[in-house]
Amino acid sequence: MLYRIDFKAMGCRMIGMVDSPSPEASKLLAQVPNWFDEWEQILSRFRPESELSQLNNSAGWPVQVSQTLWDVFQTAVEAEKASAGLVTASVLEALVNAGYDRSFDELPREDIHPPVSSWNKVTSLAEVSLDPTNRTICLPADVHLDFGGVAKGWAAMQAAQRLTVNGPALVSAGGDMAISAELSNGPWPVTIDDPFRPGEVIATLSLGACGVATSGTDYRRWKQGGRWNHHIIDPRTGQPAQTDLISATIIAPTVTQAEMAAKTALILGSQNGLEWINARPEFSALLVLETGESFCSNHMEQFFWRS
Amino acid sequence: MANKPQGRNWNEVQMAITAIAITATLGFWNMFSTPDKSQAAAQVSQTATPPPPPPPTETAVAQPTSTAAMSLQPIKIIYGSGTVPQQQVIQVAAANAPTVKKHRSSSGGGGGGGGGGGGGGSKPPSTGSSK
Repeated sequence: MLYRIDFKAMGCRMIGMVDSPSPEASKLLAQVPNWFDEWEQILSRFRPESELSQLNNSAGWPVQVSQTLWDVFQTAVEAEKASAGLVTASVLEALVNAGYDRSFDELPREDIHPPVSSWNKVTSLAEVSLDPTNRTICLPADVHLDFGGVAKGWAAMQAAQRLTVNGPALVSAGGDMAISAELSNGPWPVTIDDPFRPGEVIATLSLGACGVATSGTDYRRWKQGGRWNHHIIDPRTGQPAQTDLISATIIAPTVTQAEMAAKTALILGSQNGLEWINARPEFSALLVLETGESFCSNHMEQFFWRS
Repeated sequence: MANKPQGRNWNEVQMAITAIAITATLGFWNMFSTPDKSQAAAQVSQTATPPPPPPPTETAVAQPTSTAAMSLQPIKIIYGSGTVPQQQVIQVAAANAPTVKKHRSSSGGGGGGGGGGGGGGSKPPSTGSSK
């Protein structure tokens, strides 16, 4: 029996699914929105009372944080290392400079934010002082965090792990998916959205235990100073990445890795992004260019649905 | 008596100046009004139009080395083929709102059929830019 729940959290559409003969599976699934609400209360930069906002407001001072915030911070550090600094959580200043200063639902799409006069390179998380024993984080004065996709991926992974006690589980946080195992009757069908045609798909995937994520410049975008901006920041410039890709979908062992790799590919662009993916056999990619062309990485073919 | 011809001359000068002024105004108006309008129209369309993803008609699958655009028009290609097997799906409500409805999941777009699930069933989960 396949149980499914749909709800909204973290500014995104969420899906939880469990394949189980047990009615207990549905009871646990019904709790998933509560878990996300709890995590959002800790990790959202849009809630002034969140633990993350308090940490950001205490830059320059050591702050003892919850296990959840600590774990997500560590995930962000891993993502920064694995992407050679291209995917970092210390982009809050840059995002605000680019105009993304409130939740996306409230963000006007037209020009109200004046463009900044200068852009600054983003500071690395390596500059942050950590004390694992006391679980304290001390942000440098100029560093403020936005966990963004890292938090969503981490939350999807946590939820899938909890649900899997009743059977194979899939949790999608705005399209970033954690899959704990294959369905009882075969792989999970997962579709990739067409970035040019909302509501349509460009691929159907056949997936077992893995993580999937898509990063794109097609949805979260707004206008600032006469130009369109998006939320994928290139830390080397502190500006929205200049890229020829409109979306990058990655399959990886975990959803947090997939999310990191998707952003990295997007920032690097089609040529370098594909080289970067192909050099890492644990990742598979489908990249779509602004022109409409699409590229598959070396190992992607095996994931396309066949019946 | 000597002032009369001078007054007539002054009137003629005034009329000449007025005529030149009107002619110049009309001339400048014609010269500048059209470009301004077209520029303004261009500006309006620039601000009002969202960034155009290219017209969706074509997608090409290319090798990594051939990044140079083969086509500026995307073709719609469905990767993967065949039918996604049907599975019974039970929709669960969030805790505190226990309503449950049953339906069948259906094909979610395999096989090049345009991607949409049919028959009112549950579509497979999809990945895309965060929504």
